[in-house]
Amino acid sequence: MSLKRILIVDDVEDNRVILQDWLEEDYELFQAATGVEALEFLEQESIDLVLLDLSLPEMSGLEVIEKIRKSPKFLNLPVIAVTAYTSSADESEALKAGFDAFLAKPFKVKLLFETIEAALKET
Amino acid sequence: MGYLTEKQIQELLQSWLHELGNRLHSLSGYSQILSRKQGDPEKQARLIDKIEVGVQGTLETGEALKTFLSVWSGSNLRYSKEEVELLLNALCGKLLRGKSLKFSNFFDQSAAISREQVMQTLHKVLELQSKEGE
Repeated sequence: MSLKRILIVDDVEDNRVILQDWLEEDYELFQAATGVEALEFLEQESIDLVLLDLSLPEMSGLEVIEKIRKSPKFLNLPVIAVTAYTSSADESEALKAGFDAFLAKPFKVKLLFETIEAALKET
Repeated sequence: MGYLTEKQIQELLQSWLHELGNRLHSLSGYSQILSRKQGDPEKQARLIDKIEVGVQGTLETGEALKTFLSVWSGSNLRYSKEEVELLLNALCGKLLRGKSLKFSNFFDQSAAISREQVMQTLHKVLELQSKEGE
């Protein structure tokens, strides 16, 4: 069975390295450092799930999800918000904007796997 | 040069708290990776280095926030956004990194600090930095 393909979008290299290390044995991974890069990548490649940082330079995670959800072909693409220092209002805003789930840093690897698997199951 | 509004101060502090969250996430993330790499001493050493850098960065960010808040709350002085960013960067060690200098070397933080003193201090730091780069 082929591995599910996940796109990691985060401008902080350490964060991408950590997610890569945690997930590389179970998923096929791709990385983008900006929202623009992520959107370009999604147009070219088939992806099963996106891990999207909310705080990105130039185009925020909220702007990226808005663009993703506007495209009919990405309407059901699972996208998980990943962010540091958040309030419950941020979480509610993210879910309203179209994210499927929300992870507040720092989080444990177990929670990450559970969240990814739950999001993949729903599609 | 316009001065910071309360809303801008809140946004600035929130972005620094966000920075703190990212640093804590790196610490937590690399620690969790380390716990799975027990059989690889080289990889372990690299991870421990990253964790040490993360600890230092976290402390610097926390210290920067603490000092900034004490300076801010202890005076009615107004700073511009550019001045505050410069101050926070200096406090966080971005301007002092690699030197055996601390922001507190430049003045007594327990004393009342004038805006001019803060800016003079930052200029001293920048001068030192440019001399070192020559």
